[in-house]
Amino acid sequence: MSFQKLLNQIDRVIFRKRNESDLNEEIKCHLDLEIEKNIERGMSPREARKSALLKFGGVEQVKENCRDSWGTRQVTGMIREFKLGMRLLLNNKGFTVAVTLTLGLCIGGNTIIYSVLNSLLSPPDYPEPNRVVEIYNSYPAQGIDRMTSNIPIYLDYSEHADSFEFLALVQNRAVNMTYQESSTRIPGIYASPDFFNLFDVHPVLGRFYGEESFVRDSLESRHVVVSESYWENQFNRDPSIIGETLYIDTQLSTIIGVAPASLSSHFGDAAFFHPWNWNPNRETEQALLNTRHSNRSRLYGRLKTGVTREQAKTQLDVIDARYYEIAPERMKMFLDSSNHETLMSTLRETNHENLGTSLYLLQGSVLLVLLIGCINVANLLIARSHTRLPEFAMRSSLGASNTILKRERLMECLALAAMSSFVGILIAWVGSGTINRYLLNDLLPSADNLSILSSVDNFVFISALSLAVGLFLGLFSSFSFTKKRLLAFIHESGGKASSSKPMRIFRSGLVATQLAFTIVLLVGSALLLQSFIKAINSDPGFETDDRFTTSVSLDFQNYGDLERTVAFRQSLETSLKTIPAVESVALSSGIPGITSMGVNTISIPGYEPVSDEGMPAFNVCLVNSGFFDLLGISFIQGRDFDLSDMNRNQSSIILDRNAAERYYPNGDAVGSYIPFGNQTEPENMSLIVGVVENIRHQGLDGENMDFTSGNEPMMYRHINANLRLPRFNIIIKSKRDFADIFPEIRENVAQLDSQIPLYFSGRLEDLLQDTLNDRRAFMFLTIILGVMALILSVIGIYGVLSYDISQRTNEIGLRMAIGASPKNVLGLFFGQGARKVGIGIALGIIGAIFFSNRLRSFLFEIEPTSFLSFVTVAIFVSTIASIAIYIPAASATRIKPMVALRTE
Amino acid sequence: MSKKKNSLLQGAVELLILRALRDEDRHGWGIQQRIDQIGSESVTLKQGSLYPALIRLGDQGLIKSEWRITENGRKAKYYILTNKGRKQLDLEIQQWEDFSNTINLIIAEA
Repeated sequence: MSFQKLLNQIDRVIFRKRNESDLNEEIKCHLDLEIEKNIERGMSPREARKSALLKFGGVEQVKENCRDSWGTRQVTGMIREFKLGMRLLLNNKGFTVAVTLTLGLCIGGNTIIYSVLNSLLSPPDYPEPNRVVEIYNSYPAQGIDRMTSNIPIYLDYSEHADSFEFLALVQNRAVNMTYQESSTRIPGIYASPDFFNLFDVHPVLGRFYGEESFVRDSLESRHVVVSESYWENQFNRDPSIIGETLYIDTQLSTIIGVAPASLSSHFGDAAFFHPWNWNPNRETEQALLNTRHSNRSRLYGRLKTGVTREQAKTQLDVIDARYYEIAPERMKMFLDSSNHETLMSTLRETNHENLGTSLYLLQGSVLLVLLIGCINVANLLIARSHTRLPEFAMRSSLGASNTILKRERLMECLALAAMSSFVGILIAWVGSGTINRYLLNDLLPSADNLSILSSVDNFVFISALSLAVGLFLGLFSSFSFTKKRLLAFIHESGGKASSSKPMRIFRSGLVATQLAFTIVLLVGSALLLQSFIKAINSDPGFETDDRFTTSVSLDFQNYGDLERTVAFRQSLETSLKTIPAVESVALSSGIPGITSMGVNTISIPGYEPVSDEGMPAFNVCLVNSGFFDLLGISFIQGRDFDLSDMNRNQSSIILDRNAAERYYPNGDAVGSYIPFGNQTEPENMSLIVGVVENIRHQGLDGENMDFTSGNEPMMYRHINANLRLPRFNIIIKSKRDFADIFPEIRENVAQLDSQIPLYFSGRLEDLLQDTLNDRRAFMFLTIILGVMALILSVIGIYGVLSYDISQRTNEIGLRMAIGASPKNVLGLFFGQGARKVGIGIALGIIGAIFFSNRLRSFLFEIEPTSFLSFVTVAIFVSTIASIAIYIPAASATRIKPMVALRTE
Repeated sequence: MSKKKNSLLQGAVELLILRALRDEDRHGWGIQQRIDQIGSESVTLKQGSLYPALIRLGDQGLIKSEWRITENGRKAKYYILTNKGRKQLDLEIQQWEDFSNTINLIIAEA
């Protein structure tokens, strides 16, 4: 098609009326001129006109030929039918509202979930995201597929791996930031110099730190870059902040630049970017070899142009192998037993891995709900097209082609879908606001706020979805009447239209199908609900009532050595105990079940790991004496830490029951020695002084207390065991209210050191339940979807049955006239409905058995085939469905035979 | 009716219209008069078949149209040959002549 023609056609579609009137006027002009000429030749006006018309050919025919030449007949026809459809729908308000709400709800839900998926899985907004990878350690045999990395690896790769343009070491770290006397605890990033180059970002203001910042105590190492949001919130985007100073954990730092918001969003909303300070003189070659796998930081790399990930991986494998040759014996053993491998993934893949499954399940569920909604509407449309059968039959016999009638159905459905998608956008908009406000942090901690209206992708999705819905419905409703049926109807000479048998079976099939989908969704939500109830009631293994916690972080400047730290802890403990009604105080490096603890692998003398098992691994928690007593964790053997442990130069250890039973099956754990780090002399090894009961240390929904891989047992060490431990938790037992006692705790801490802010505070019970937030959010969404599905399919059953009954009024009247009792009639229709429901439930249960297996990783202490969930859902759905079929069936019994027969 | 005959006729009508517009811009009736004038009675067409042909020519970009006032003060739609149309006309006349020459030659030889 030529460009000119396209322009003309667009003009003809848009300005159809003007084009029509132009054509009329042109033809009229032609005829007038011809008539004038004829009159000049001496004809009478009447004759002149007749001759002109004759010579011209049929005026209407010419117009039709011209319209054909316009080539826009199809389009204008469709537009006309679309408008007609809209008009019909607007006239039929009840029907239209019901349908657009149903479909709108479904489309809206789909849009929300899609936009979440899309925002998570869309490539990050830094240039060439596919070249930026995280390089991480994997220890599959230890049950750890993904760990971080560490500085010796960074140094090694920086020197030897030329596959990467830049490498950067990154650590998330919260600090006490003090600006103009006010101190807050904020999250930030410590990163090596090439960090900004690697992500290819540019400063919003000022500059980024450079190469020199890596050297500890250099001038550049005291510089800091703040994030755009911190700049906005704290400084109101004041450009004069460059050169301002603030304290980061009591180190005086100068602000030199502002980093764009996009960068922070990939790093847990970091408020600042601080140079990674590294002291080459402090770490010996040997220390680097020893700490290579003490994973504490994340390592990122930007691949050089043209270098594939496979090539880079091969190079890293060679470097790792070189390390293995010179590694200490202990490390070799660890690497062998853990099947260590260095792996790479892009940020997108990481997101995908973390959140993919639950979101795909949700998207699947919400699509099911849409399907149920569509089936409802399709059923309604089929019913409606029946009532319009006389009209269609009439038009068909007057010469309307079957194609045109079908196209008209299709356009009406597209109009319906267009209205629904408008409602859907509204619902998605409102829904995303609600999600942003209440659910986002639990469901998607790494996602930004959802904005439905700002992404082109979302609109493409909505359009595609509503087009699909419209076509789906259009096909249903245009197949619901065929030429044959129209003819049959005409032959019946205007008799009331009744549904054909195949059509009735088809519609019953639809009802059963939607009920089956509903069962699948509801069984899924019931399983999740059951898991959640189990998890929230599960026994953590320690007391949480009347226990509070808060945390402190000591800075290096003032508490740089063990003595000062120990002294601070002692005075803190003493001071807190003076608060009225405080029963006891404990300090620890972590709170079991709430904070995650570091996993250490240790070789235990006398224990030989089985071939496929890694080295013994422990969750290590540092605690003071009194910790076990305060939390009500009982001793099975031995004793708590005491003063004698602090005075010896060897440290003491307490194991949990799992560890003791596994590694000391003869019950001789207490009194045995374990080497820690480089302790090889027996007098320097650590002594096991006690064994305590197991606790659920991975959260309320953690693995059960049995020993399994991935659920490492606990090892407790004394909090002063040769470690400085700047960050620790305070746990307090008191009958007082938390809100009431907390200000006093704060005051007591401030008296010791006013520069130390408290963070992560609350009742143990609340914090423990917070660990279930993501589970709760996922469960709620699934339940909402399940209930939506139930409502929709109940409406569906009700609708189909009432329609059937309305079609058979005549028959019912006849039956009753010749002696059928209301009971018989009720039985007839109830039985019909019950058959559909029964088939639907049976199909649904079969479907649910397959589907619930996919939920396995979200379930807690129940099997995917939990009898309770299946039976409850089956009973629940059949009760509701029975009500839905009873109501129309009962109304059938109220039909008066005389009235029914007379209406014919 | 076979499609071939139809398209041959169509082609002829379009050629005649372009030829009629070569010397001056005309409205529909004027084109008709011009064709009648030069073609005498040998080419008889329903006058109405002119208009679909005009639309097709417009879509090909060979002619354009605008509303003007005739010398008798009547509003009429005038058609104007575009540059592209002029070239196309020359080309088609050339082709037509070549074609009819060939046919004439064959007929003469036979």
